[in-house]
Amino acid sequence: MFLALREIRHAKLRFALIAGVIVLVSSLVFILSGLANGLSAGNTAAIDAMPVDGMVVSAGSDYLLDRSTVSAGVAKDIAGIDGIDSAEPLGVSSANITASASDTVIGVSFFGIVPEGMIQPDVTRGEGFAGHEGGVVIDETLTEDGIGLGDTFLTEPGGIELTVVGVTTDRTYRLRPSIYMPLDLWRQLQPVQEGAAPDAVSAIVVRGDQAAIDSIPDVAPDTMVGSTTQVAGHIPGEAEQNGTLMLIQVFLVVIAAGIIAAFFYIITLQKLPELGVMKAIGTGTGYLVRTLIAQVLAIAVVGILLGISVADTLALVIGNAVPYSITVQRMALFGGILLLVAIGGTVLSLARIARVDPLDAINKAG
Amino acid sequence: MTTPVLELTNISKRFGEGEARVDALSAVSLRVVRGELVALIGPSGSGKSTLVSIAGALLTPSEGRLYLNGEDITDSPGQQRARLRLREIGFIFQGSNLISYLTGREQLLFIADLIGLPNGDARRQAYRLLDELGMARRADHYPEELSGGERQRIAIARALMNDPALILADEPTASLDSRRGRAVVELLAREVHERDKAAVLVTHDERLLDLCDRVVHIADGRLTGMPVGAGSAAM
Repeated sequence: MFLALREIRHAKLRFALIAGVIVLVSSLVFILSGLANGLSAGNTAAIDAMPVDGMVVSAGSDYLLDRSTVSAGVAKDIAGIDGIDSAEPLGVSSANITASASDTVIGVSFFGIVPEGMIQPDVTRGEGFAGHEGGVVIDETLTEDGIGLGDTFLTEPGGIELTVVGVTTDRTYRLRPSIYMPLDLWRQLQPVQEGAAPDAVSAIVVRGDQAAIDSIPDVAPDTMVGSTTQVAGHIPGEAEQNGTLMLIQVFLVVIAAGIIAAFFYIITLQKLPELGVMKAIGTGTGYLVRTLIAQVLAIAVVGILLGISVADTLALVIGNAVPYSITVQRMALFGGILLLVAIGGTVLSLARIARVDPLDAINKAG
Repeated sequence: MTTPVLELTNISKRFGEGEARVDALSAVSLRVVRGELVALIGPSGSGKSTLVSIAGALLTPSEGRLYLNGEDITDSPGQQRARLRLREIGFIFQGSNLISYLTGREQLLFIADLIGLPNGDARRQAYRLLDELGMARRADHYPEELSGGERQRIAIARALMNDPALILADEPTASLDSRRGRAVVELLAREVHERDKAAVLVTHDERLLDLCDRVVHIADGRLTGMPVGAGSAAM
């Protein structure tokens, strides 16, 4: 590309400005993407992490675990269905805890699970709660609130003192740290409700083939099934928050396209006499098109790469103050979209280049 | 007799229809052979630009045939015309005909890139041409840093870079004072003769005519003056 880089070199400021705008727009896209991802993970990580194929909740609960009550006994009926490999009861509830050492009250989510069952989290420090009376496994984020391995806290409701015996990671639910405990202990902590079944839990988690899972409501009356993705998507505010952030990102991508389109179109218009001369001396339209695309690619790639580093630097600076998490795949996805959009933005300019008449190079007055 | 590089036979060009019809050229015939610099002189609106546009394969005539190196290219499609312009014709235009973001040397290397000349050959040829035209020292300047005369000398070098059969110069001295204009045409004439090219110089400056081998007058779309092909070099 003989012309592409030489023109950029000659008009450094101009191209630096447009690259700067792309850096800003793309870094904002990446930051929002990381924020959306981080917020969403904070909301749903504990659900996403469950290696199960389906969750059985009560009919009419709209997949809200807080609203769902299922009898733990139906787990056995469900496990009996052909094609279901296993079914376990799961209790999920919101609670507050008070650290014994400091009197601070922290909002958490209690997960009552079958010990050594399907959704037992892997501990990164300490050990599982099996064999520890009153022992629980906490999510890493709780350690930021001053509760660590070996610490004790009081539950509310329940008023029972529990001890942290293990720490796991990436198990937040509704932006709160999760605390894993045996199902029996979880049940003890639930306030007694009039008319509630004594063995009530929030959901039954199942593993098995899809057809069998879909047939569960036939066996267990007043239930419905959904995937973990479905349940995560129904967490209050989750869809709205994702939708809002996604909308902003879509707008940013559209804005990026518009800016690139306008910039290159204006540059092309300024160059029309020169383009006429080039065509007159035999430069093909294809050559000029390739030149423009090469320029857009160069500017966009530099802009996007700098945008990624700006976003990452900002994320480092912000630290844990906001939930920020971005994967290489998401970066590649948004980077790719921005790149495509940048190339799409040149359509106007390309059309104008195609219409340049080499005859324009000749002095018309003669 | 050798085949003329450029031959126009009974070329007519009309623009518009009915009342608005303009006959820019009427039955124009012209032959230019190797080593011959033909001046095309005429007042504004006489059809000079139309004629040079047709000769340069930029415009198709309404009637008549156009031959380049003996080959009829009257009806060649656009892409083939672009290739002919690139390979066989060297253009020198009036005023701003250099690319603003390329240095003098790069203007020439750009042509080499278009025709796919190997890098080493391109650099050697560009240097030789720039040196011949007295621009070797100013070769790495951008057009905006060069005087009008220097820019036209670069333009001549660029027009020769593809080693064309035919050179078409459209009022190359229009934006120059007469002394510089004359120097540019002297250079052009020297290159045409030394390299044995055929060339047409469109001008309205009669003081330059002595540098040309033959003068063709054009008025109201018709050629007058020397009869077709009667130039001394054509014999």
